[in-house]
Amino acid sequence: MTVNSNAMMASYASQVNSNSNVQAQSSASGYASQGVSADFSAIAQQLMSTMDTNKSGSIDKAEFSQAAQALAKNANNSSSSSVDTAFAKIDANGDGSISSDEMMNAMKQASAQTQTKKHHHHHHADVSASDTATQTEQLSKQASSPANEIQKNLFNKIMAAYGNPTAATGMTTNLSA
Amino acid sequence: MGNMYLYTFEAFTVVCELHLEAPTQSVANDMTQMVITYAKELEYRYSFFQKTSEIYALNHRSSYTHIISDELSGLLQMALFYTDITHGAFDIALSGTLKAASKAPTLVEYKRLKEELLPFASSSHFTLEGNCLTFSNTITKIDLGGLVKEYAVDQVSFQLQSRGILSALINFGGDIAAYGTYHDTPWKIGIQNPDSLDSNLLEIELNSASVCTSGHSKRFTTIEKENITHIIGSSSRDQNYNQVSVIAPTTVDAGVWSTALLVNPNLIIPSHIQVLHTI
Repeated sequence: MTVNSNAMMASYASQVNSNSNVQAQSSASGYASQGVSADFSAIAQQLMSTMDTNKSGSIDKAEFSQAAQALAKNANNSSSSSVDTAFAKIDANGDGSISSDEMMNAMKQASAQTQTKKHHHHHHADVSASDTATQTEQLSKQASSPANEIQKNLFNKIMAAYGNPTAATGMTTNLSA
Repeated sequence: MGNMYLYTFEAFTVVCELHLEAPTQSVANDMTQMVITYAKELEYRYSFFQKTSEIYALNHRSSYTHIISDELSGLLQMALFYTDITHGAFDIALSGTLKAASKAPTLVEYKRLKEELLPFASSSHFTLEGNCLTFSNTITKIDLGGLVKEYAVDQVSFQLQSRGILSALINFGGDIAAYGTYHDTPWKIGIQNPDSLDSNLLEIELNSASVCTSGHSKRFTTIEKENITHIIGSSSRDQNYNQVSVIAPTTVDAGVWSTALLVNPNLIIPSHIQVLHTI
């Protein structure tokens, strides 16, 4: 499993919002806001309060890791290296702890990226041809991802059937099927 | 050459068969145990109904964004690929979201619920970025029922081959993959006649390929004496065929296209897909 700092922030924000007075916004199109909209400072403070279990005023790696594990409880496994990567991304000054300012900046980045993804997705139905190419590309990436070793042969075989030359040459040769 | 062994067991709520050639009974037993364990694990992880599954947790979400497992991320990526390539005829959010309607006590209520849920019954309501899955609402539900059994057959085929099994036929409730031979002759598969279950519509030979048959005859819900099929299309064109069989290089491919052609018989089929018959 990869712990993505932006995803983690968005997920945490959603959970915090459901228990606070910071209201999520909804749009007429049926899209509900991720909820990281109005008051980053307030949300960041709530996150700090939740994650800072020893009440030191900042979040150390152990506290961060604990929160990441709690968030990823539905996943089958977790990786300490991905937690380290996510922590380092938020810990902008690299002092080994996350301050409320750093938390707030991470929230803003998470929000901006989530909105970009949503905007892109709104146009899904209009660009089916290019999206198919994108999906093919995504599947190729999945096939080459070390994390998906168990699915690699299958992905490559599917891609080879659809004429992806990269996948065809990358197929495991000792499998006849 | 080894001996041929046949095992039957239940997984994914269907009867599964495993024919394999192995040097000894002990090896065959070990392989079968591995296959059963793997199939049960997949069923446990990706069931729509079991509270233990990752899918169940996602479908009963209280937040929009989730970090999902590597394997599920791969499965969803695969599903999105097929949704695009079948122009939405295969969509893991379609039957999952509309399942709630099939519990309606009356046909009027069923139609009302279906109409209400249909705008949310699409994969366009979630985005996948690596392991990060984000929904746009709390109504859209994912159902891997049309994918994970086929995926299991393909993975079992790969695993048996990597463990030195030279010939095998894997049949999970009619989703079938075969490689090698049966006593030096090709594997033969009978496609059942839905109107006369004791007879076959046709018989085919299968080697290093898969065949899947999708139809409305076996799995449906009855509301006020009307059968509501488990394969639910988003428009009225979904009842043109009662059964479609497809041969493809992978079971996932065969399963997806047999389902998609039931939903939309006008789809343009890729050249590597062979449609056996449609009734």
